[in-house]
Amino acid sequence: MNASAPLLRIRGLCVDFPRGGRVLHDVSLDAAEGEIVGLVGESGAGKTLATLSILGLAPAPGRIAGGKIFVGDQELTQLDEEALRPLRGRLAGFVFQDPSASLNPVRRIGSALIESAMRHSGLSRKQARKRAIEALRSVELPEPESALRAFPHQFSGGQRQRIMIALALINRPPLLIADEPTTALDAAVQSRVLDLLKRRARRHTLLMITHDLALAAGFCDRLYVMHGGRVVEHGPARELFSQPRHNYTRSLLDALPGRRTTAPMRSGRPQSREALAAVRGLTVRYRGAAQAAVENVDFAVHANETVCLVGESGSGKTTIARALAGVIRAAPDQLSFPALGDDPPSAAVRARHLQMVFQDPYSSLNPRWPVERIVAEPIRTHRLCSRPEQKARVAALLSRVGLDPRRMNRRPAAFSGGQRQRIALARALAMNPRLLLADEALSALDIRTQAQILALLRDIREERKLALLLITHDLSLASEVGDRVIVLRRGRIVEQGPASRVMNSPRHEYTRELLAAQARWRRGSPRQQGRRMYTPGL
Amino acid sequence: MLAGLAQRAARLLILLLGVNALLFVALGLAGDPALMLAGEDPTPELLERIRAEYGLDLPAWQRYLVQLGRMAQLDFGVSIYSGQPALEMALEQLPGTLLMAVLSMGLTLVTAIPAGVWIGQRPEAASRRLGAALTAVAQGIPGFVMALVLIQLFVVRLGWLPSLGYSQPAAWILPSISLGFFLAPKLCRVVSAGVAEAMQEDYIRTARANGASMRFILWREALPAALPAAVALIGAQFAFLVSGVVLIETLFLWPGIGLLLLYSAQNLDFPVLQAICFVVAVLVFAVNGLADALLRLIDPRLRPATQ
Repeated sequence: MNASAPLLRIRGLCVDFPRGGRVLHDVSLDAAEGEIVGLVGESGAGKTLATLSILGLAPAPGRIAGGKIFVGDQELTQLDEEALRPLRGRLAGFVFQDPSASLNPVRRIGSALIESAMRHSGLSRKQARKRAIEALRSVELPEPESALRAFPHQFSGGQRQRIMIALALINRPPLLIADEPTTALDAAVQSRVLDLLKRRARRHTLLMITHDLALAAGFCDRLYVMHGGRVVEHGPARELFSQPRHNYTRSLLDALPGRRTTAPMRSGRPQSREALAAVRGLTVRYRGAAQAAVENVDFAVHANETVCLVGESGSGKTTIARALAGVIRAAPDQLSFPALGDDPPSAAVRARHLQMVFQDPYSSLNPRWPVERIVAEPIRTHRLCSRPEQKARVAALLSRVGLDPRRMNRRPAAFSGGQRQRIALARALAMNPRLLLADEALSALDIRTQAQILALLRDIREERKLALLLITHDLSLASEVGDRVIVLRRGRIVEQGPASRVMNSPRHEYTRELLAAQARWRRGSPRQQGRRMYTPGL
Repeated sequence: MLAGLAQRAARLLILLLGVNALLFVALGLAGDPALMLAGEDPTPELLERIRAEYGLDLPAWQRYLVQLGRMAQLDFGVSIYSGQPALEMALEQLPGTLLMAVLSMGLTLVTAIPAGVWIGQRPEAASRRLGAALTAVAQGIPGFVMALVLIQLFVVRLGWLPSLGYSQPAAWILPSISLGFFLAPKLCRVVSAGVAEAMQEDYIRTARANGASMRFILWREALPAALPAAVALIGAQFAFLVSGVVLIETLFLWPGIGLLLLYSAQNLDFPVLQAICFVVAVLVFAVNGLADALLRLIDPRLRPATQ
């Protein structure tokens, strides 16, 4: 083997799908020993397919139509399933995005690890068990021995991802492929898992897929940018980030929070003193839970302002949203809507004035209904206008959110994630609400789509003098769009204030930790360019 | 744990009371056993005497309470016909029924699970579609029709197998197959649906990425994920299976609890009927409890948190 040849070499890889035609076009990629290579691009760019193809794991009808793949000096595209199988896990280990879905819920952690070790390395069960404990220890999982007997649901998301990493590395493959390994995790957990990957990567070649360009630039040595099944640009991470050559790379960079060319949303002035929604000492305790999900929370949202609720999962953000929407009943003295009159509003009145947009644009729209019916649903329920008018209303709403009204007869499947979120927004606006509640409505979107939807939200908010309550785990997003930011932790507000103040001089230790965790490994986020308030290695 | 057991015991008690009350009403509508006992052309005096002897002359609510009190001591009375204690008669027939139940359940498991796994592996493939269609057809055939076809073919036409009793193992074959038809097609469909669903999950991709063979993936990754639904089905369908037992035992003259039930019902032998229903209710309840426990064993998410 040529000592200087990179460990992984992909040359001119093409992948075809019988119905979809060519999906990967002439993809070439190198990754040297000990190198961290990032594969960036939006969903559908072909990043995952390219890496799955290395060991013949492309989903069923997909077929390698051309090109060569080398790991070391072994060529892999000519091998059949039987020859490839023993190489999986041994030549390359995989870590996938969603650790809760990637581990079999009915199998013990130990059996997955031990069987994988026995399968490849010819170890006895006893030796394999020892190897499994070592592997769990190397990913810094506490009490590895008892972890072997546990099931996936007994671990947190971050721990599950550590277990996935242990599983990927248990047969000591030279190549580690991590597909969005931290996307499903909270910021603090994310940075710890990334720390771990970085440490482990020294002994492996790490190929990392991510849609987060700032993360890729801060974490990887070299980057490949993919778009539409092609590699459009590649080079050292630093260079690519500071001097992008391809237009597509540039557009990705421009969409980064803090760099977006769109004017910031933060310009709203509360129009009246009277709050649309006032939360006073809100406390919610779920049945059987030891701790209250939300405890003694105070805040208000006024017309024409954007308030961001920020916190990690389990901090009570969604519980607050559910209380506002009336899904959870809150005491009248804990939650009021002063702008809607003195009495607690009825469910119908509340629904007319308060509308929601949800996180997952795939599950929040009925797949069997045409878009017209989806958007018209609230109009029909509340009898806002006559049938003939309805169509015109829907058309107007769709064009307002940037969709072609002529497509109103199509079903959600015909639309992309970003377009679906526009549909959901149109549905929410159909009621002409005064308070719009967006629960992680931007989290599932690609960065450029996110920027577009954000701009749309801003315009609509200003146009209609809406009160906007944005729920997010992403502090940089909150700082970018919020007039005020409320930081939640374990159901309590730890800090609230004007967005710029919270970002620039956070008063609470937890806010500082969150900011540091988000900035760690990320390049170009506004906080990192300015002060470095975190201690590296934290 | 103790609270769980107490809750189960309470449920069993309610179930038995319900079954008993229902049966009491149904039997009251069925006819007068004194007429059956008295033979042809009974004199009114004879009927009086028989009614007095069996306590049939008391008002219904009194009879109900008396019977309830006896049942609390597991005393179901004696058979109107043989004079044997009713519970003893029912329990004597239980082994025959259990033998058939175990045989047909075993047969169901070894056919339906592999077939379900095979179909679920690639449900869109032509051969699997055919398999799924056949399963759907099989589900549509009532078990007793299948039994009649099998008897006609193997006993009457070919003369290969005996059709009566269970003294020789060769006679076990047809009843087990026929009874298996009550559950196997349903189980096969549940398993194939569960496996097909599991095969789409991310953790199957993880297993493939770790070099697991297709066989390992199907049996060790996908099937365990499909098992909870299968066990739940068996638990829920067991009572239905008991009705199948009555039919199949009747057709094959299999000396079991089903056959006894049939005779006793024809003869309005109330004490024996009561005893049989008691035994069956306890049996169904026990199987359901077993299924629940098994469910907890194979699906760790249902267990109470220990960590």
